[in-house]
Amino acid sequence: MNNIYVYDQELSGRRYQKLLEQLETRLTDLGIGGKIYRLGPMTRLEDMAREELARHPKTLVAVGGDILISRLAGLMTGSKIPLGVIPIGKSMVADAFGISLESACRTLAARRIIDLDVGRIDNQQSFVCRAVIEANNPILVLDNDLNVSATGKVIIEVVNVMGDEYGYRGAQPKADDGRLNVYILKTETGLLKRDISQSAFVCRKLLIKSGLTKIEVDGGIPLAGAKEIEVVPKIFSAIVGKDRKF
Amino acid sequence: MFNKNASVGKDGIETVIGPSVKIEGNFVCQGGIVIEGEVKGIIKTAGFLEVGEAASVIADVGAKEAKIGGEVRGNIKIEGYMEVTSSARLFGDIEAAFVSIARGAVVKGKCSILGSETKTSKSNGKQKEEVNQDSHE
Repeated sequence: MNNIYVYDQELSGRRYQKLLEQLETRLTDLGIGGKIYRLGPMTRLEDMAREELARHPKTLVAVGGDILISRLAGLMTGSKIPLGVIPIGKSMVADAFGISLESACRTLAARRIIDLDVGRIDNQQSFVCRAVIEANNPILVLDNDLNVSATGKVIIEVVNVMGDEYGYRGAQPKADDGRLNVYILKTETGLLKRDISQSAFVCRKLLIKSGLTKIEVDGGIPLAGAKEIEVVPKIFSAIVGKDRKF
Repeated sequence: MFNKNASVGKDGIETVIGPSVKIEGNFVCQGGIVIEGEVKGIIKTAGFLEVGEAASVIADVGAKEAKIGGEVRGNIKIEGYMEVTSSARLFGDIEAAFVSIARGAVVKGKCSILGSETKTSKSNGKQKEEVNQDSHE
């Protein structure tokens, strides 16, 4: 059983070379070194992950940002192999998991593993943290039962887990509660000030009946559209820090 | 929507229905609800309910405690204390253990204030006794 480290394509630049060398030394010192995959323009993450997961590695570690973490998490759903995270740059997922660049190696060595939910869009694209939807006069149905409509241009955030930036009214998102938090945000402009009015719901399934104009997940993966977003409870395992936000 | 292990915010609020939002259907939850928009259907919570001044609720309502400042058309059943502020307009029957109604509030319907007997009658399994009946307009 081996650890697999998947390096984000962006890390191939020279400016990360020293940092990566330091990381590798630290991982070796902790006895958790492993095989390294450097993603390039010609590498398909899906093929690599499928191949490696079939060999049952001890851990698959995403080294990079949220897009890589989210894509790997989506590919690892259903397997019992835990996802590890070494965040390079700002990462919502790592933040929610209580992992910083400084603490990442120690966290990986400690192997605090928990089962987590993911959000899934149209039974295809998964997300760990959130989907952000821009919409105009949207009509939503929550849990097949509750019709929710909003007037005007709004941002809808469908959140599985959130890091430090969580500051909304309503239930706090938890990645292991089998539910998604839905926030509808609207900017109200007055003569002198701008207010953001906010609505908050929790649900297992969200149907977008109309009004969607744009959607992206986990900080940057754009999607062509979305009709149904649902939570898939405790479908993947991850190594989290002791300061996780849920 | 119903979940006993519901996580609620720091102030006990689980659901917020903002001013630009309208909901229709049966809404049941465990945590607190704040309504500032429009609601049609049924609302039930084991927590606190707050209906803001600009809110419009056409629904039967059930909660542990409530503060009502907007318009509610439907029957209201509160286990504990219910505060009706001066901006409230209530059209329907009210049943609560304790009620305070501010001057200026419009209340049209039967008002049953059960006092502490709500809990006693619940624990004894006896039928609730109507202690006070009043109607304000």
